[in-house]
Amino acid sequence: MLEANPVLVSLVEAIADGLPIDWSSTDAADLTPDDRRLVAELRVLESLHTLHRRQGASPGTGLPQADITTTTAEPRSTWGHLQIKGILGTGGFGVVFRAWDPRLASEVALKVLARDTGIGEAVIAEASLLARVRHPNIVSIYGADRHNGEVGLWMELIRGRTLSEIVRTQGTFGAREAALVALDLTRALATVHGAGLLHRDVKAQNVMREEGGRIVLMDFGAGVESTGASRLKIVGTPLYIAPEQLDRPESTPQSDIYSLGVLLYHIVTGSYPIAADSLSGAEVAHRLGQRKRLRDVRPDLPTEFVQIVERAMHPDLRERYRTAGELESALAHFVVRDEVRTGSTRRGTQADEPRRRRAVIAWLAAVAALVAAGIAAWLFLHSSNSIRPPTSAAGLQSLAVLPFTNNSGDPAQEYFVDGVTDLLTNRLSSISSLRVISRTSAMSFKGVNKPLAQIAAALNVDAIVEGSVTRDGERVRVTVQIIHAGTDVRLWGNSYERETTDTFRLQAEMARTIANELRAVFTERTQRSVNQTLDAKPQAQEWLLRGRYLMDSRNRDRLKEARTLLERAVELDPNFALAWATLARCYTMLENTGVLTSAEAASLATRAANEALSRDPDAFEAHVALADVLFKFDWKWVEADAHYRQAIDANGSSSFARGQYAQFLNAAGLLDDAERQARRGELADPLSAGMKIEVAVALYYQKRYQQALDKASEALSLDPNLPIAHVMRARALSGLGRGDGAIAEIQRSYDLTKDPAALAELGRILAAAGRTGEAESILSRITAAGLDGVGASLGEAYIEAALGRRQEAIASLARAVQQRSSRVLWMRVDPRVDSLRTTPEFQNLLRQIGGLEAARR
Amino acid sequence: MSGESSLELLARIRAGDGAARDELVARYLPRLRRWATGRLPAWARERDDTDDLVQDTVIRSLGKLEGFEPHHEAALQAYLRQAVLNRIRDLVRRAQRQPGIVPIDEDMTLEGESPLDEAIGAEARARYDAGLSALSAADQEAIIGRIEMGYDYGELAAALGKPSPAAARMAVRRALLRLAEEMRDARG
Repeated sequence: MLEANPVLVSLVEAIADGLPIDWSSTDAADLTPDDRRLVAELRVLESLHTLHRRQGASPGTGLPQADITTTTAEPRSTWGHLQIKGILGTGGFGVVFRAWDPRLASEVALKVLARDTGIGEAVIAEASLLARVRHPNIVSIYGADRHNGEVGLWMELIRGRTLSEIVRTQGTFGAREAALVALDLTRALATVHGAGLLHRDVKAQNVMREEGGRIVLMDFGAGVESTGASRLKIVGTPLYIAPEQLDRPESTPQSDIYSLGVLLYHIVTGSYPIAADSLSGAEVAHRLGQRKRLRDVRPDLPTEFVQIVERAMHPDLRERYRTAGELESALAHFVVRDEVRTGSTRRGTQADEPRRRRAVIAWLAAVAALVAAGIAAWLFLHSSNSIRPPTSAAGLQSLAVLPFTNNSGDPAQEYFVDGVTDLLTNRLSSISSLRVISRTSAMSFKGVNKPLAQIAAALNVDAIVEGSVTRDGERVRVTVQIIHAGTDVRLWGNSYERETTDTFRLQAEMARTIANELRAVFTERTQRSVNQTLDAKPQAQEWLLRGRYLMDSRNRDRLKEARTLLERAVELDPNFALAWATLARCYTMLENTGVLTSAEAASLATRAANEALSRDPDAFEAHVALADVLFKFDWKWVEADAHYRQAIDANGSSSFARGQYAQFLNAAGLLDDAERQARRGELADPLSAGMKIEVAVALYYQKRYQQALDKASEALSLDPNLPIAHVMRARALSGLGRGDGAIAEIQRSYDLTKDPAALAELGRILAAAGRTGEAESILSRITAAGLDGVGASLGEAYIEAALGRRQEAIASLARAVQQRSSRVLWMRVDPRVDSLRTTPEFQNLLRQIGGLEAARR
Repeated sequence: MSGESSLELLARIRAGDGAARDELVARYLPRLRRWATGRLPAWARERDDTDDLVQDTVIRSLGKLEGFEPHHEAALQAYLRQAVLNRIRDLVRRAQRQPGIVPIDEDMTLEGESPLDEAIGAEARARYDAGLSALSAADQEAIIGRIEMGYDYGELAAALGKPSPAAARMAVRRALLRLAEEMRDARG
């Protein structure tokens, strides 16, 4: 046992202790063929243990904690404040665990170093380095510590696979896909280098592609500060080390670029430019010029791409890209030109195909499950051949599910039909390789008789899914088809007919059968969610569908009805995660419409969201609801951030999640990230006025007033009576110094809503425009009317700041902070309080509301 | 629960103590039922009397302990499991003689139908059984106790006569690795 490979030892420990295992991590492990066969048998044993545990109570370890946290070799249930949930991977450095961080209320990855490695200090240093950089393509670090003599580092849990694993198991990348990956990595490296750091170990094993498609640069274990050139011991894999480092062990941003070039070479070829298994071997290969040119290995690749890769890993520093930005620019040009060259109906690349197979869905409403599985099956089958004509090609990258038609002749069945559309859209959204248009945009075509090509163009998608539901007496019939947008050709279709008696259960069973048939393309997370949903009681499912239908209206009375139905659903079936998650969202909507107070909604939504997540950790609506409460009510920035990220991870096409996260990132001062999220949300929901407002808000905080104005105008063109669109136009116009236009806009918003906040904004704009008398008058009205409530203090602060009364403004702002108005959370970036920003009092208030960076320090 | 070891309870049962018998039955029954469920073919699982079958078997077996002297709890558990298995086989044989019931192979392996088979496939299940039987009795008990019957390490230490839960865990880990090696080698 003790002589066995540490990977095997870790697996055996996890099986014995009943901890979940990420088997994909063994793909990357250094194992002999014999060991791999042993791993196959260990999988059997794990299945057996799981089966027996399901049949009875979990045995637990029955060990006192002190016994199990003492050494790295021992299985453990805790490490410091973290609760260990399973093993993600092992290696010579130690073990990476999946763990629960109760402080963040989130799952994290915990890397615990093997003893006697002598690099404990480097890991602690890694934490402090990483804390200084924040970028969507760089893993977020949460903390590092010593515990019982061990050094551990916990960070964002990335669910996905390394590029190395992807190449090994699914084949090499095409030029375009590789370039897109590299674009993300150049941005990550630019951020690293911009912070005065180096990565020093860029390689395919250190880059992960998340299930949602995000590329993440991992493992800064070798990272050092870049003070000119760093003279530390060479770290990294010989194949990725730049030749100049072999002569003199110095790292520079250009040596990171060299490594990125080798990474690109590797993911398109599966091999390396030189053959070496040691530093001296690499040295010899470089000295003798034994470099295999990319063109010789992949003659089919576009010349421009080959030139970029060759230049990125050019042995001569003078010929190599000097900065990550230069490389990014070259890659971006290539991608754009490739897009033009190949057109929108681009065929899949060699490596695209297996990746498209990854995800397929079934659904709560078994009707939706059948349809989703059918569509996914179609995608699966048709993605296996890259030489098909566009009408049946693998190139489908985006689609919209149009509202299904109710052919029942009974308007009372509308909730059921809309439910099928809703659930199907949601489920398809979890297919990582597919962009699915959010329901809000798709629903705008309900009952609209337009050519599908026009609809597809408006939604900017490759294909449309449409269908109908007929509920007639004892039977229900669902038809569905996929139409290719460019050609109007029907790519796939099917129909399903069942008895209505016990419809959900019967169809759930069929969906499960289909799911089993397609098991190879289901992700583990999707499968878990589907099983969880299919197990729900039929009556609870019915109430869920009705509840979600009622929530669409956003009308307070119908929301109250929805709440009743959803509460009934979870009472009937407390294990119904989706119902809990929907209920959590319903509570937050009830707060927005004034039915619940913030405190009531926070308490109810938190409970419902936690109930959902305890049963389905990927219930994205629950993550968003919880994040909203943590952010706006509890002011717990780090925890909120973690939940927003998990929501997007679980459903990358959700404009709702991205919009909420954009608001949060604005407040945190991460304006670029906020704009990025808002724009991704807009892409997923192109006809939603609300998403355009999120983009406008992000632009406004960046003081890009003209663009903010244009975007708010787009929102108004979609919904002329949207009060917030008038508010944003007013704020943007005021920023541009166009006081009269701003006053007219805010007046319109006030007329629509009579919202005191709009009145206060009118006062502020008047003051900014120099109409101080009118501004004073409004300020007096606000105070005299007894509106000195939570929002009003902030409104007063804005007016007072615009009037130049800084001390009074600070006092009003302090009052708003004391009252815990959630609206103060944006003061870090709000241009309306710019004049107060440099005062110590303002800085003190910023500390009181906290922030993401502050919380991490 | 008295806190007495199972062997102490067994001694009291031998002395005719009904309460001790009830306590021992209560201690073993849930896990034996679960274990039996994993071994039963689907048609038998659906019978209402399966739970009764296990309970009845345990009670009867505890009444027929003459000459049986277990040195540790694991031996007692193995004895009871064997009794339940024999009873299941009887049930299958009887079923085979009745028209309309699923026929079973002569060797009564119940292959292809139990939850274990459904979980890992009949072939892997056969490798598992063969691998298990190739292990020492101590290794077998460690695996069955932990994996099949869901003992925590404290309970397992008591059953296996190990000095501590950590020692029981080590025994399970070693046994699992040996079992996996047996299964791998059986695959050839």
